[in-house]
Amino acid sequence: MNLNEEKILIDKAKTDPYTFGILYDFYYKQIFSYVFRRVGNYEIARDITSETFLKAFIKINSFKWQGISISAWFYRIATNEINQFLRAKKYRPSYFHELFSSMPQLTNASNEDTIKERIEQEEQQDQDFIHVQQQLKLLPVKYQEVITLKYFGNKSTNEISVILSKKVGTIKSLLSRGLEKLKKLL
Amino acid sequence: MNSEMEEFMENLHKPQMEETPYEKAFKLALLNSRKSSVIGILLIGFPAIVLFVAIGQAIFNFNILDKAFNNITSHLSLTLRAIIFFILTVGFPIIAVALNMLSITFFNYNRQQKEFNLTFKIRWWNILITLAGGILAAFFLLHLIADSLAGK
Repeated sequence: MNLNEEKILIDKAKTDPYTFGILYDFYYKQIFSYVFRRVGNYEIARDITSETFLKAFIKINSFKWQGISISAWFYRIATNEINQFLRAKKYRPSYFHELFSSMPQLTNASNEDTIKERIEQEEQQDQDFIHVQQQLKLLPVKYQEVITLKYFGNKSTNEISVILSKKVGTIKSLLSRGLEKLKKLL
Repeated sequence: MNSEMEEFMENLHKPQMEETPYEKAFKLALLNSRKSSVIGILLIGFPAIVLFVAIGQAIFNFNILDKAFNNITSHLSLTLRAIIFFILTVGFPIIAVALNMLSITFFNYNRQQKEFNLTFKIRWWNILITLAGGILAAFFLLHLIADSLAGK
């Protein structure tokens, strides 16, 4: 999807919920992968991703096009949600809980447990990844954010600067210092 | 020093994701949430407005509800007016009661234990509307029964 197509879809999504569905289909896996690789828990990643898209869906009318992919906005919401999860002892996705807590079919979907087990098992097999993920959690959040966006979310420095609303220079220095600190821990 | 680390991070094998049934189920729920909330507001809001106006009418003795109803349905026959009045004052609140009850009631059959579980979720807004709708429907229904018994 190019930026022009995306802009048209966003304008349409403000009045037509089903157009938002196209953006959802396109970006769900990317956001879920990013969140899962950072938190390492299937259920929490699922809840955070749901809350991310729910917030985006509710606030789509306030989204202003600035020539940058809407994915940066999704990543920003997801990153804030992850930080909230890391700060709180018990994460409670408020919008999601309010609207969908009464829909057991969402969490009891068939094959859900099998897929969850498969994804978590696959993650366990990547011992290097697990080790990096665990050590990363010991770093301050500002380093975790940039490193995960760069290497788990495959975002460029410019994209990270948009997502985190920080200067490109700041991102580069956070990345460099973060990697140094991570290397010492590994 | 960092280029080594950068290379390591770039080549690190990351867990790959696949489409889950949840992704589709959540999409449906998400996209329909706006529609459901509009229907919810209409079904909850309308009986609530009728209830407040009816209470106001009874207390302050003004006839907004009667006048509005008479103006709108003046060209209709008496039987049709009675049916519409019945639907609005008894039918709508009953629908609101049913929908609000359904939204907080969950059924679950446990095959292993051979149990049928019925759960009610405590959501005060739904409970309040259910009670208000029930009171409203009962009030108008009893009023209609009393009127027919009195032969009005």
